[in-house]
Amino acid sequence: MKRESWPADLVSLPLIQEHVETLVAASGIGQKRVVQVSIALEEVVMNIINHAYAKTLKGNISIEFEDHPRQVVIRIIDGGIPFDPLGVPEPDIGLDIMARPIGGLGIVMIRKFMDGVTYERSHDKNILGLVINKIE
Amino acid sequence: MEIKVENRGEVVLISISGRLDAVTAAELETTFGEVLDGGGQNAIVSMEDLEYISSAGLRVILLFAKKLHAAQRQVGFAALSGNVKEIFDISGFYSLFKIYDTVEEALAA
Repeated sequence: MKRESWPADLVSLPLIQEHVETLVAASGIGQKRVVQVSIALEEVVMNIINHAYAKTLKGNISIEFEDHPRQVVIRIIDGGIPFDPLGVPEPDIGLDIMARPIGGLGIVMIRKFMDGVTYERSHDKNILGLVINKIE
Repeated sequence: MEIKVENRGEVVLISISGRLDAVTAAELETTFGEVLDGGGQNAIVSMEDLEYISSAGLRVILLFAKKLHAAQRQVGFAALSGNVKEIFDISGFYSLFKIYDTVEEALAA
């Protein structure tokens, strides 16, 4: 298992994405899926910056990566306040243009693109797990 | 991300390419603001070479569409492919906006 950390800041986002994209591509997952992983990862990282660390403004985001024969597992870990993105209700995508809320689509994409998503609060950390199957 | 804005007579064509993410979304928001202030044309957004869009990008697009709509102006989207097309689909944007297969088709509409 590989583990690396970055400051929870917008400037870290491209660095975290580059790190994960490299690992996911090396595991044999195709380019289209690599981009989907990167999009899901952005949603998770932005949630951490905007919600988990909203009040403290300081902290780290750690990435753990596991390459298994049939799947890869990415864990995104932060030490902010408890925040479970899976508990956030999804927006009603049937509403017309003026009634549509402008937020909330991140979790829709995480759920759609990932083969598994888990949330755990352990030892004062938020641990969000993303599972991607190698064979679709 | 690269943004190109062209006046094409009755419409303004905004072409975005590369990655539209939480870092670059602010840049597009600025461009959209200029288009909103720049007269009464309808807008076409070309996504021909856009390979990545996150919810931060969708948010900016939805905000732009709402403001145009409030000013009785319209926006259409053209040449979506791959992940971007899929994301528009799962976000319900196909039922919200006019979406064209090609830029030519959008300009002719």
